[in-house]
This record gives sequence, C-alpha cells and structure tokens, in this order.
Amino acid sequence: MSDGDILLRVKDLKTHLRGRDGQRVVKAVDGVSFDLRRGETLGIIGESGSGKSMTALSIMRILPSSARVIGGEIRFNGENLLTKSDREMRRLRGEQLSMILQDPMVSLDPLFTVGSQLAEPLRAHMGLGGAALKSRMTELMSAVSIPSPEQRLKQYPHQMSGGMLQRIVGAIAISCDPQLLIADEPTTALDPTVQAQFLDLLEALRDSKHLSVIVVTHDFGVAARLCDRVMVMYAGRIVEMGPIREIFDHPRHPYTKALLASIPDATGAGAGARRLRTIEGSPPDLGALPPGCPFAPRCISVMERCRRDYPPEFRIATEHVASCWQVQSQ
Amino acid sequence: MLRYFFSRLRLAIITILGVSLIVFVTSRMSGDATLLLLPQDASEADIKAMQHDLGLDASYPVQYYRFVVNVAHGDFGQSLRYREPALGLVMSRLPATLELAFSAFILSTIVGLILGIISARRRSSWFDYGARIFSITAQSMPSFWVGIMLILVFAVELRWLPTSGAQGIQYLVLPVVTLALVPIASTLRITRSAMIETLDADYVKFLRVKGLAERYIVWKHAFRNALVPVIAISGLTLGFLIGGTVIIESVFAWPGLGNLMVEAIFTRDYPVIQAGVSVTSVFLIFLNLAVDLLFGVIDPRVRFG
Repeated sequence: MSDGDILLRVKDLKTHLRGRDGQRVVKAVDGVSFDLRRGETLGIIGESGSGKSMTALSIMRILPSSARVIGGEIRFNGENLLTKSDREMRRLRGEQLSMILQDPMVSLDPLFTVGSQLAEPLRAHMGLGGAALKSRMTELMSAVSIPSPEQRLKQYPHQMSGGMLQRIVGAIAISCDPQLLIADEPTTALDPTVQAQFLDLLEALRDSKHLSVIVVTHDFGVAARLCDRVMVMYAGRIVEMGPIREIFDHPRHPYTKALLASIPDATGAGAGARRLRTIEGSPPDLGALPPGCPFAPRCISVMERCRRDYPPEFRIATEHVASCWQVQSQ
Repeated sequence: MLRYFFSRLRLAIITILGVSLIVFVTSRMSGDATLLLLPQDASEADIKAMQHDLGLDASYPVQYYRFVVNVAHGDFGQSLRYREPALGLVMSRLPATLELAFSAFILSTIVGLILGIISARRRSSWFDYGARIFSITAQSMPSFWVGIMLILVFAVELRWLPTSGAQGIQYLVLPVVTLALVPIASTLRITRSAMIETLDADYVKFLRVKGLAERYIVWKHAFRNALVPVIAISGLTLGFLIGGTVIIESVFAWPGLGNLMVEAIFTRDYPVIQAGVSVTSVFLIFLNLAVDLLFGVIDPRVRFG
C-alpha cells in the first residue's frame, strides 16, 4: 500500500476531556492509529463512551470546548490537520471533509429554510450564486432523491420527516464534493423503515461521488452493509481492526465476540437456537482506568496478565490486528 | 400567518372584555360612589336621586352593559376632582409615561442582549461572574430605593443630573436607569442561557461542519435563535415597565400616568382610576399582540403551527 493511496492517516491520536469538576482528566481517545484509503469505507464500532464519536470530532476539529487533542497526528492528504490554523481548517471543513450528524431533527437551524442552509456551503466554498447556485441545489436535492426539490427548498425543517431531513443533511454534507465523509450514527435516530433507505442512499452517493467514508456506529448491521473494514473501540482505544468479513467470521478479541453475540438475529433462524447475550458490567470510568486492559473486569476469558499490562497490538493476518493477550497465547 | 393573526386577535379581544369586567366589578366593590359625592347629611331622597342620575339604581348586568357601551364610545365619565372627562386626563398623561417605559425598554433590551451574549460566549470568565452578581443584585433591590440612591449620588452629591421633573433629556436619565435595572438583569439572564443552549445545539455543530465562519454562525444563526425567548418575555417586560412607572414617577416627580393614578387613588377619583386601568390594560394587550406577531415573523414553527 503506497502512501498515495492513503487519504487519512491518524497516528497515536489522544483527545482528553476535562471532567465536570474541571480537574479530572477523561481519556476519551487514548492513542488511536489507523489509515483510511481512498474510496474505502471504514467503520468505527463501539458502545457509547468508547471514544468513537470523539475520534470523528477530532478529525473534523469541532470538539466541544471541554475536549482537547493533546497528542498525535491527523494527516489528510499528507498534511497534518492538527497544525492548521482555524481559518485553514474552516476552508477544508465542508469542502473536503464533511460529516453527517446523528439526529437530523436537530441538525438544521429551525428558523431558516432548508434551501438557505443548503446554499450556505455552496456560497462559502464554491462561490456559487444566482442561477448556478439554484441549479446546483436542485441537482443535489435530486441526488438524494427528494421529490419536487424546488418546493422542498422553500420549506422549514419542522415541515419535514426525519428521513427526508437526513437526506437533506446528506445533500448539504456532500454539496461541495468532499473527499472524506464521516457519518456519525447516521441511522440511529431514524425509523427502522427509513434506515435501510438511507443506507442505500449513502452507498449510492459514496459510489457515484467517489467518497471515502468513516461510519461511526454501535450497530454491526450498519457496518456490515457499508464497510470494507472496521475498527472496534473500547475505552478510547482500538481493540480490534480488520476487514469486515474477517471480523464477522473470526473475531479474536473477547469484546468483539461479545458485541457480535449481542446482535439480534434478523433472519430468526438462530432465535430459538441461542439466547441473546449481553455483556456483563458497564463500560469503565474513563477518568479512573485501572492498569492493564480496560476490558478485563468484564472479560469472560480474563487472565492474570490482563489486569497488569495493557496488551499491545498483535497481528493475526495482514490486515487483521487485535490488542489482547489471549491472541498472543494462542 | 393570517390564521395565527386572527387567533391572537380573538384572544386579545376576549382579554379586553375580561379586563372591563374586572374594572367594573372592583369599582362596584369599593363602595357606593354617591356617598362620596354627596355631603354627609344628604337625605335618603337625595341619595336615591343621585343614584338614578348616575344609573346606579339599575341591575348590575344593565350597569355593566351601559359601562361597556359608554367605554366603547370613549366615555369613562367625568373626573370627580378635575371636573373634566377622565379619558382626556389619562390620555394627556400617557405620553410622558410611555416615554419613560419605552426608553427603559429599549435600554434594557440592548444592554441585556449585549451583556448576555458576552456572558454566554465567555462562560465562567470574570465577566460572566460579574454579570451574574449584577443581575442578582439588580433584581433584588427595590426600585424606589435604587431611585433615591441614584438621586443622592448623581443629583445631590455629584450634581450631574437633576433630582426630579421633566424638562429635557437629562431629566430622563435617572428614572430610566432605575426602571431599566430589573429588566436588564432578566434580559441578560435569558439571553445568556438561550445563547449557551443554542451554541451547544447540534445545528450549530453542523454549521461548523459546513465550514462557515464562527462570527457568521454566532450572529446569523445562534443569535437569532436566542432572540426567540427574549422576544417571548418582552411583552411581560413591557407590562412590568408600565406598571413600574407608578413608583418611579412618584420618586422622580414625573408628570405621567402613574402619578395621576396615585393622586386619583388618594382622592377616590373613580372615573380616572377606571380610565387609567382600562387604557393601560388595552395598551398592554395590543403590545402583547404585536409581540406575538413578531414571534410569528421570526419563528416559522409558530407561523405554520
């Protein structure tokens, strides 16, 4: 894999939060490294609090004021985003890096028409105006398959359904033909019936616009639909990463195995055969992590060593890595 | 928008009718007006005759009907003290009061908004703490005391401004500042919390995703959203200000409606009290109607809802 193929290279990213009391430091992202190839779709999977959203927000550099990137590199087309000025970063955001947020019902300003909100990035980044702006907007609305776009553009967010709003958010996100699109739980807030539709749309947009995509999700089903590779995060670190089929068929980290076992089987075939398993315990307090592997307290195959030392990354196959002492011992 | 307008208008009319009923009932409850008008030794026949003249011998529903009809024609009766139409007296004093109230409203809105936005954007800074201490202090000091203190400092000690009266712009400063202090504090607090809420909202995050300038995001989007609750309370603020002038006008000897009303209450000049209460009420009801309409203009959810 030559460096030219790599769109985004994240190296040892550390993002810390100040706790509510202002003193305690929460290691939301604690040494995350991964590459994203051009045209690839990478899934980031984890429970809430695993650091998956913080990783996404760090790349976009739109962290909440309590959070700060304290170390690492984020190279986008070879350039480190973390050393860019706010102004340079703003120019990249919306134009080359874009993002879809979780809840479409609150992603748009309720006081402005969707048209005016779609026009904003087109004006700011592409300098469009007049007839060119209008035709571009109609084109984008059709690209996300919204019927009668002219009328819809004049409407306000509260006049539309969640599914339609998420498609409009999608249209805004891809309006300036970005190279990277981050989708943070893009279907979680949608009705089940429109979830599949939106995933279809996302897939179609990715292929037609040659987007590289990062999908942040807690849902293996979503990852299976869209992703080439996935990385599983736990307590701010990557515990396992590999091609989606590999992870599905041969998960190596106990946490990944547990997550996969907790998926309800949609086909119903396995429903009677096995009971749905949940993961015992709750995610760790990121402000007071014990030494060793943070998953150890919940792990069913925990060993003596796990409680002492954090496991390094072990390579299982060319692209499949996992951070677990068990993998080494096998 | 039109449907919204008519529903608000209907509500305003119902409120005005309610106010007329309250004015009518409270004035009947305060005793027989004829006894005040006649000498102590008036005969039973004199009282009866007077009651008949004033229409007080009719049943209450009939009296109320006549009251409403008269008021609709702008007739609140004669002032017992000045012997001239009560409405004319009230209207001649109204401009001075409105001058005071609106000056204070404009001052409190502008200052409250600016301080609130700065507070929200510099959360937990010394400025923010200072603003919080200011708003708690301002809201807990009685306005007549503040007025007297301001007179002592700026008029008596420093001699920068006149103590009382209304002969020019410099006479406006102290009463307006006194009156505006509480609404500045409340506007500040509401603006601050609304601004903090909008700056944390997901749509602001998405505006940042779009790569728009921070100043644009704050002023075009966050500020406009924060304005919604500020407008929502502005009707209340105006009511507070117009009511608040009663005390302030006494302290600063301001020749407005408030002073006239206090005088009328002391001399039991019922027609003037009725006219004053009715006029301020109707005025406030229409101001609130205007605020509601402004609300509809700024927020599409209200307009289409």
